[in-house]
Amino acid sequence: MPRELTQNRIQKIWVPTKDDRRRAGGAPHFANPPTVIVMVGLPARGKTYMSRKLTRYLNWIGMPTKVFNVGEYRREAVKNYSSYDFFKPDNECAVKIRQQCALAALRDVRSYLKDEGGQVAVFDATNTTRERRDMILKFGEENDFKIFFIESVCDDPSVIASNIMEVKVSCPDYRDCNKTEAMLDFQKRIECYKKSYQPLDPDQYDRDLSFIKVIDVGRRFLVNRIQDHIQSKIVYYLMNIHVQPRTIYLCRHGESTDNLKGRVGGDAGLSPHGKQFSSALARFVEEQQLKDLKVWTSQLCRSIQTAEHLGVPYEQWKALNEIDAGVCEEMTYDEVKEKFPEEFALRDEDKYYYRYPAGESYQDLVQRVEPVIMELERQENVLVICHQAVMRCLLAYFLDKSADEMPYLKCPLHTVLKLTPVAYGCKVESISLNVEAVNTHRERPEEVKRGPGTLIRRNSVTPLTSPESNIKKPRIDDLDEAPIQELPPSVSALALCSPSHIPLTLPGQHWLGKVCLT
Amino acid sequence: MELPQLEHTRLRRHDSAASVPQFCNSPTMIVMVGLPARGKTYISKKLTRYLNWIGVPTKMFNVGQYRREAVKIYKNFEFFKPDNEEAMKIRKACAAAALKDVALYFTKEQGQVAVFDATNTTRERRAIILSFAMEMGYKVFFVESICDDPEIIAENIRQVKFGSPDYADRDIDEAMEDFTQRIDCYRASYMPIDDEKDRKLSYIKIFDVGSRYLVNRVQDHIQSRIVYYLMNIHVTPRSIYLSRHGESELNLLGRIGGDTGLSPRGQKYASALATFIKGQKIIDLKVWTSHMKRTVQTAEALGVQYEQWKALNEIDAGVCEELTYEEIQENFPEEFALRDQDKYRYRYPKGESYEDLVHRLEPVIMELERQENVLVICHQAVMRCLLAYFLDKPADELPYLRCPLHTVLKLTPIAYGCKVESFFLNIEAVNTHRERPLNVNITRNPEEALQTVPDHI
Repeated sequence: MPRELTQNRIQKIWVPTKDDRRRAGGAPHFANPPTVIVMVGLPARGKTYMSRKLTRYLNWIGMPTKVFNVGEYRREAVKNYSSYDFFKPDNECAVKIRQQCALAALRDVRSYLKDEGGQVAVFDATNTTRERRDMILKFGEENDFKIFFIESVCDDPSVIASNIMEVKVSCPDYRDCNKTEAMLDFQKRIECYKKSYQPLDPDQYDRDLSFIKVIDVGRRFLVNRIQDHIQSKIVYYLMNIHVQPRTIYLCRHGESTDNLKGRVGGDAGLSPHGKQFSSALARFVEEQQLKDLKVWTSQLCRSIQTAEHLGVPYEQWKALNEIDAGVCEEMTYDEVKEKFPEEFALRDEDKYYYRYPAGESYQDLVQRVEPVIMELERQENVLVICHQAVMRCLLAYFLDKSADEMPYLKCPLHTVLKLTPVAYGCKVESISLNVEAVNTHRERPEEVKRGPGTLIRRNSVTPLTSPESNIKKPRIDDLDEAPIQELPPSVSALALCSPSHIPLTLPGQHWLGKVCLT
Repeated sequence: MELPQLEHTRLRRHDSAASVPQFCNSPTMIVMVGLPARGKTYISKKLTRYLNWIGVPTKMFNVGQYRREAVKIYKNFEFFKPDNEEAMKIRKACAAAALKDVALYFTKEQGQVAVFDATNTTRERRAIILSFAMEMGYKVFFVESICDDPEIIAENIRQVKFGSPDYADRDIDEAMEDFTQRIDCYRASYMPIDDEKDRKLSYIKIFDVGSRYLVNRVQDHIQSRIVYYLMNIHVTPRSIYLSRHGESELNLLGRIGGDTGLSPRGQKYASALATFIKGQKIIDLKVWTSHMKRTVQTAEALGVQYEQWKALNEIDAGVCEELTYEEIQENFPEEFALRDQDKYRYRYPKGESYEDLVHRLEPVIMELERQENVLVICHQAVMRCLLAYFLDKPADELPYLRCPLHTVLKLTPIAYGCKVESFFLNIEAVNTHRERPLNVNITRNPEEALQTVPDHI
């Protein structure tokens, strides 16, 4: 006898009546065993850049992902970095500390994937020796985690120098140095790693591993043994991103006649102010003096009309259409409240997951808009003229905002957001074009209680902000097992450890079972 | 500045905007490289089918076919010996003829991608192609297939070579022997794409049927999509089962769209489907449904886990949702006629077109390629789109493919295509298939419009 079905009130998904727990996303969940992505490569090869970007993307498409950067663990353990001597292979004390940092990070990886609902952990470290990688593989085997390596190989000195200038020179390690000193020290640091570097060997030693080698910042890729859907998506993503400087402009269509009436959805044309905005936008674009600007619109009239004023070719994407409000299309919020009071309340309760009857949710939007994001990654200068909900989705991707925040991001009419990638993130400038418009933003109502509660589930399409590093919290609280030990006196004698900062011996052994500390 | 009057034409002209921007500017040549029996034609055909389905006009040019035209009777492998000067002349001429046709395809037939299927195993041959492309302003992307596993190669030969016209009159052992020597003729002069010398070229090398890939200098969107597709396909034997939901309440009333549950006969079908599936004894079957009640209810009867995809939802009929065809004719006679004029591109007001559906379904197809045994329980228009992909049906046939209720289609990849078996599970259901009427003019009268509407309550 087939089970009775009910449609859950927020997402409008049909589930067996008794099985309330089941929460389908817009698409099947493909990750089963958790995955550890292991970065490999010399310093300044873009490992952290890729780690963070990939993590942001995976979280946005609803795959809970977190970065574990071993360098951060090291900075916790060794409060004051003095010089590249720390990274010399014969510096025994330092080697021990670095080993223990890696183990501590792996311990946190395990906890994230097993106890905290994580699906993917990105292990961001050099991992340049077979020994280190073998240890990680064993760790993966013991815990039933899939392992996928991402190796970045680059020998172009100008790329490396540019990386160092962009992110290393300003890092905490070099806060007391000037740029030239920092650059010189960092280059010597790289030399320390070079001698013992064993790249992944697809022909012999590593031929059974799953990995991608990114060569020369994406000019070439070697992909070996993709195991599953998520690895395939990761590879596709890595093959589409680039590091060329460029700018993305996001804005909404000019004010529409429906906006003036307070109506949602629909396919109305521009109001007089909307037309003014479009002209102002044309002037703005000209002033920016961009070479090769691509202009994208949705297939709704108001977005296309706005683009028409620019006098340049533009491309229409149906995927950029505004969220479908289903039975509520073209109503004012008051009319919705009157005709569908329950729906109105449900939406405020959980605006991200809420699907309009016969319409869409923000969760559906994320899935719909994903190909746009992929193409934005491939492109260079782009102006996207879209709609409020859509713009919130795109913005949440670029600024790493969670599902909870996304539906309340401020995207007012007649304002252009200028996004420029910089270092590991994105600079945002908000530019109002000084043409009056109505306000269409509805704040989160006070009465609605916040917090993820029961609604964020493993494997559902729920963008999460990339989680904060463990390091931000004082580590002492976590060491419930082993006692704090002082380092042997020979260590304190080294210039790198000042007496007032005694690094903690991080308990690694027993957490990782048979993995041994060498 | 006076804005041009924006007309909402749901019926789009062929060259106007589709659901997604058209990313091809210069035409692209995909050039296959590899010894015989390495899967080049298999990949060429599959890739061509995929690109055409997503709306990129693509055509395959198989040089072997040109050779069979030029040399009516194939004697034996000696034709392929590198010192056979006369044969060399003919083979070169065939390649040149194929290139000429590529140019014609791009200039006269609005093609966007041409797949040049030949061994192209020497640097000399590839240099000729590259200079041809440069002269004409075409982009070039190489796809090289490298495989040394004797089992795979033997299996390839069995699957496709024995059926080739070259070996029509031979017995299997003779054919195998001859073909093996044919491969040896190429082997001596085979120069794979060189990672150093050819570092400026755009290419993908596929090793051992997809165990490893080397990708160099992807230039643009279409090459990126091609690489993604090639990295997701596999050759492991499997079957894909396509079925619609059981008959629904609205089906009985002749109404389109909506989100109702199954009728009593629909429930019976769901049980029959469960029995059928069990009888197929499939290992590790994945079951997919849409988000609509009728597909979920159908899957529930199977008693196994299933995954819901919003992308599998039926085509959105916009303002026509839940109407009968008679009501559509009465309320929107012009729309009704426009739809009959171009059913593939026609978009319901506030709804979707088949063209939109195809773009919506692309991630489903990609995942179907990755998977093995899958049962997809979906809807009429959606099933037509999926079927058109597997059976390589063009856009004008797609909206008229027959996908009746209570019938399971079993698709099994074989040789270069797909075997289809149709299983009607013996539970009566209404017919929901509406043929294209004779008169599609907007001036037609209601009887002419409703001529082909199937019976309902």
